Amino acid sequence: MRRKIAISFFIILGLALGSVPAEAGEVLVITGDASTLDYGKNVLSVQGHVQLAFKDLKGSCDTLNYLIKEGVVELKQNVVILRGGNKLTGKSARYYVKESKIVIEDEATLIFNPESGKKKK
Amino acid sequence: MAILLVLTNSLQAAEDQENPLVLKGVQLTEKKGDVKIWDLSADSVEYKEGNAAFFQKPEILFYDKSGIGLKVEASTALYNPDTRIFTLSQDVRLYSPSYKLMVFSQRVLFNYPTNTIESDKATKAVTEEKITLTSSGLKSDLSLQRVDFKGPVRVEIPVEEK
Repeated sequence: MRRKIAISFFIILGLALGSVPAEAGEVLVITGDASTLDYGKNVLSVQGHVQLAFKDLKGSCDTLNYLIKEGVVELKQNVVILRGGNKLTGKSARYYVKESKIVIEDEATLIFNPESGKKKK
Repeated sequence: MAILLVLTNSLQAAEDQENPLVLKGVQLTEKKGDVKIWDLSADSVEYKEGNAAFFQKPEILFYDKSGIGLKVEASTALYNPDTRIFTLSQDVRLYSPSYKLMVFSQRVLFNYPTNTIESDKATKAVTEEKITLTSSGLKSDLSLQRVDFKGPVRVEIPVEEK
């Protein structure tokens, strides 16, 4: 069931956010209260008031893990992703940076154009 | 039992009493049995009160099973024999050949008894993948395998075109 939800929201998100292919020289910026670089696990984690920005996409969460070898960002707890007036929230999400794909994995909510008040769940 | 070897190109007695001894072109090595623990080379070392050693332009190589575990450079370093802490200052650069990680700071403490590296100054780390991480300090093991950065932190990850 959750897998179906994740797939559905991935499709919806693709429509809502559009395809944003990465270009050479672009930088994903992440800020937070603290960070750990662990080569034993090949993970760079950021904790506390985490914010990320990549081109016109912005996000926030409590904890973020960047899987260095895979190039995947894992967002955990109080995930909020914003782009072009659309807002996506959830308990956790994975952001495939190179492919510009986002998968919300738990308790996903997508709000199209918050100003208009339309909401799908 | 650790053995400390000291080689020097020249030795001079300073005129003032507070700095009674200056060694130039110094090389120090610590070994445990046949195993080399670290090498230190410096332009000079002054022995201060209480046998504290003040190094100019030190370069330190820490060894592990793989060879050089960590390379350290700085403008100055102060070694406190009581606490066994090296305080490296000004343009401090750490490099881990194993992880190809560079760390830059203006002050780094090597706590020898606990085998930890600490900094309470602004630091910048650059990984093999060109990820840059700036922070207000760090704490790490001697190999830089796991580094905890103190906040606020900023991470910049370059994204390559697929």
